[in-house]
Amino acid sequence: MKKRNRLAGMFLTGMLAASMLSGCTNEPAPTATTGAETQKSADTQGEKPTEKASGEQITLRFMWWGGDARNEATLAVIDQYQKLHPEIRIEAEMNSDQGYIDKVSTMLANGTAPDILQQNVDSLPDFISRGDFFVDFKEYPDLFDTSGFDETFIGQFGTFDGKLLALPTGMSCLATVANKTAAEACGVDLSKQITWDSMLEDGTKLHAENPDYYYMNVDTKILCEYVLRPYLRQVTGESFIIDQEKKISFTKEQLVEVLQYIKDCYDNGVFEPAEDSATFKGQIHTNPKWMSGNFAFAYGPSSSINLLTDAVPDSECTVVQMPLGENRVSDGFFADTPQYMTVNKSSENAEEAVKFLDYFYNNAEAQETLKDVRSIPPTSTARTLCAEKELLNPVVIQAVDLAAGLNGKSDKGYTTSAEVYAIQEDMIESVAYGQSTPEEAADNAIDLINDYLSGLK
Amino acid sequence: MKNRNIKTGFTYLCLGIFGIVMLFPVIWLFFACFKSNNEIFGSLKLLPEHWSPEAFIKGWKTTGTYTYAQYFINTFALVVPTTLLTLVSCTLVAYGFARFDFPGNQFLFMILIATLMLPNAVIIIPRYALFNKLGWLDSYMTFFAPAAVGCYPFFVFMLVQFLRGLPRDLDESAYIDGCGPFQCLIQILLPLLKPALFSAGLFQFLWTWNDFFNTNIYINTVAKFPLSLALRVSIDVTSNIQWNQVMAMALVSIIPLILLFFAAQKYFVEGIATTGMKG
Amino acid sequence: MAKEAIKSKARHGGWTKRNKIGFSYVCIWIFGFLVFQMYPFLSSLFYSFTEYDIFHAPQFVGLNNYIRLFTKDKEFWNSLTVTLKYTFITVPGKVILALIIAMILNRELKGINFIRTVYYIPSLLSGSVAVAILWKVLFMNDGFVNSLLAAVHIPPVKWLGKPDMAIATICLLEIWQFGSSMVLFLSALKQVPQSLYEAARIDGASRVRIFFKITLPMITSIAFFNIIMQLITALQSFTSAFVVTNGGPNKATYMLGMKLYTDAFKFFKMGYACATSWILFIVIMIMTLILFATSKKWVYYDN
Repeated sequence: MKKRNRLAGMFLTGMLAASMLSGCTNEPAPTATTGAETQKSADTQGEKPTEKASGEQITLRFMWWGGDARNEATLAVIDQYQKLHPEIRIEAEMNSDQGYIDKVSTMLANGTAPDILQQNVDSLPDFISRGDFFVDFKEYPDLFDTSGFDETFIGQFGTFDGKLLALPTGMSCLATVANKTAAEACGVDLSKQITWDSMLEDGTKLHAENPDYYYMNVDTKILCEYVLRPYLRQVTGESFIIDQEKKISFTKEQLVEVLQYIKDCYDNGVFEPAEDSATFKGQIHTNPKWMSGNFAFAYGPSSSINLLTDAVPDSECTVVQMPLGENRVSDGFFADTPQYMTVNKSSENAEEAVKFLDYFYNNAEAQETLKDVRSIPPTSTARTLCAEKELLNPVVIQAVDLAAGLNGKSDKGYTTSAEVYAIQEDMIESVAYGQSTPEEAADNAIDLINDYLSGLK
Repeated sequence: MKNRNIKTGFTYLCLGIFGIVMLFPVIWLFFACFKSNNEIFGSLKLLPEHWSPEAFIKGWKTTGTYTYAQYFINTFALVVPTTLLTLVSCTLVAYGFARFDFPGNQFLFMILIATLMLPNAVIIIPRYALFNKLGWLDSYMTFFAPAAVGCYPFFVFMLVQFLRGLPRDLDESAYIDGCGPFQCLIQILLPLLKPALFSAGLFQFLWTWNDFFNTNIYINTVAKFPLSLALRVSIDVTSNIQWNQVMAMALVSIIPLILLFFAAQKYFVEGIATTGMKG
Repeated sequence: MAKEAIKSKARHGGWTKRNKIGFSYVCIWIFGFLVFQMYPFLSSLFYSFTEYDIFHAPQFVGLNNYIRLFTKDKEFWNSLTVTLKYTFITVPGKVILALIIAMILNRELKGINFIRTVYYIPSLLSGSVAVAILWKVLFMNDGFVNSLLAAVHIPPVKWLGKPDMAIATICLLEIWQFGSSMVLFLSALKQVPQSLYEAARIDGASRVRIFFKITLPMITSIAFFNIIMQLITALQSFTSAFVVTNGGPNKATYMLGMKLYTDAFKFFKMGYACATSWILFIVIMIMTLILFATSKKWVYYDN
């Protein structure tokens, strides 16, 4: 009893003081008046645009992420479509790359996902394994024409258990973008094939000779996709996680080896110290050192090479082949799709959404507008059209051509699920910051991954 | 005497300098909105080289379907009803606690105090699951519903304390005159409660306006985004962040709060000033 | 005075018609409490013993989540450490700064009200994304703070890149918003009877002595309230770390609030996140209880 009183007393004093914040006066509260005004606007705007209350207006929600060029082109295609179909209104929900997966997953979980969703290649397999969220485009042969796509390509990218649940948005690959001007300035030879060893060696030399310069512009997330996993794939010939067997494909020693490699690259100035590059994580093209031409190379997906090249307008950029280990079992790298488009199965207007995507992929005007904002177009019609009009960035074409010759296998699946990705990233970060030795980091990560795998049904 | 003047002057100086340091980020924010994107970084200059409203115009329009006008409307549509509902429900509940000695009053009040310490983090996931089942996710019901049923113990508590400070004779005489309990609340107590209500309303307004944790979890559709979410997305929706535009919109989003604060400042300051007399 | 009100209400007035009406008002809250607080609170405990991904029904897994938290999840220990570090820096920092400023502002000077208002402004914006963004820009590698340092020939600091600096930057953001604590102290200081000061002055007590013997004891109950509320908020902190540093670098600002969010809404480990939230709850409870237990020694109640 006494204690209770004490508790109450404590709060009383606090609250009394708190209640005195705004004083004791009988003047009318300004909040009340603003309240009345805005209440009205709240009411009028309460009509949700998604309800087709007025006339036959149909609203589709379309969500994607991307840079300015992609946003502009996609908005332009939406405009074209709305002009052709005045009864359709498409709401653009441009989102950020960071946090996109979290948003999509919560939206799918609670049934508030947009009608049309651009999907991350890494996370889509995970979503598909969790539920029946997306329409099978093969069920709409009259509405969606797949003839422009290469059969094997959509067989490999977009078909899950015989259903075409997602449409690849293009042909893309991981690319090594070279800043020719910077490379020449520090005597980096762009004609030779980079190997993991040569990268470490040349990068060390470059930084030793020119302390302001670094060999490769990366962040810890990029390192997962561009170094850690391909390095291992070249050694083992398998994905990081073998999905059918639900187990890891590498030994601890192999993982330690690649982590040690990454550590060496950091220690020797091949990469900019993690402390400096951390601020630009996810946006390496905004790193002032890249913009001022103090990096010889940068890693980036072919679908957004323009971000990297546009950031250095005064330099000439090109692409070179991805690093290939000398004793590799496979090339590790491969060409795939940059993203997917999916249509929400629970959408009331799924058919309209499919129709829009048909326009998006197959209409000549749309193809011309979209060009290479999602890397090389996936349909042969768009490729021919863009080639005729020379609409594609030659650097992007070159990158995809380089990747087409490589025989690595796509590793999208458990390997790239949000959780496993996070484990890979944390492992690299703790090595990059010198918090763990490669052995400790590898032990910890293998533990966590096995734990994740044992939880799968 | 002279000594004292110097001392006062010194106090003012210190307070002034510290005040400027305190407010500096906000002052800097104001000027940054007029700068070009490059000027924001690597420069010590506070004032922009050219005063350009461009960041405001472009930032307001955004590159997407919705302008900040929409986000403002959304924010008001979210914050105002939440605040009003909170005030109504909390007043009724507080009245019930403060003026009626039904059995269990004390016990229930203790529970209410205990819930003050219940961390939001513990209940957020089941609440999310609950709202999911009710089909309320991605709507402002997720804010309105808890507000309508007095789920803000902080304000109930505050109003109870205030009511207890008002003499009971007031409503008892009204009661004898034939007023029902509800009439008594409306006619007698409500006018006296105004300052406390105002204070509670102000806080609820601020907190809901600034809330990010809950909106981020409950609201998904861009068309329904309040300012906090719109700002968060603006950091990385474009490839090269136009920081001046982001800064401009950040400033715009806090202007209503600052205006409200200065409008209420009189009461705010009076409140502090009169405390001594009251205590 | 308010406490007496509670005491005098030890007996109740039975179920009169009037009281039934009063009870019906309280029922609004009882309903809200049961649906939006009690039910989530208990089901959170239930979920913490299950595997729950929101797509499928929860599956009972016993103590597995808790065992995993304590034995396998190194990130949990890291998050807990980071959260405690943050709490132990920001809560005392904020409270002490607020007290000092309140002491200085607690005097009759022309325009003092305006100054008080100015000091409160940062608090007005507390928790807002706008301020978090502003902080991020100010503390970037080539942001204003480093430019300022450069002007006085101090080499730039990697505020957001270095793990230790990142947490310090976040703490600074929190401490900056000391205004509401300050206002609470100000009103408490106003309530200290002037007669006490006068008596002390007549006795010739020094300023320091007056502070420790009169002022401080008289405001301990407000300080206590302040500390408890700040503690609860600090332990759950989310927005600043999420917007300014996104938990990085190298998880240096990955607080429990963020871990909870990521586990629940990114990895769909709702049950696991609930277990984490219960640990957080227990930590809050323990700290509150410790404060209560020690309060007898240092909190002065005016009765």
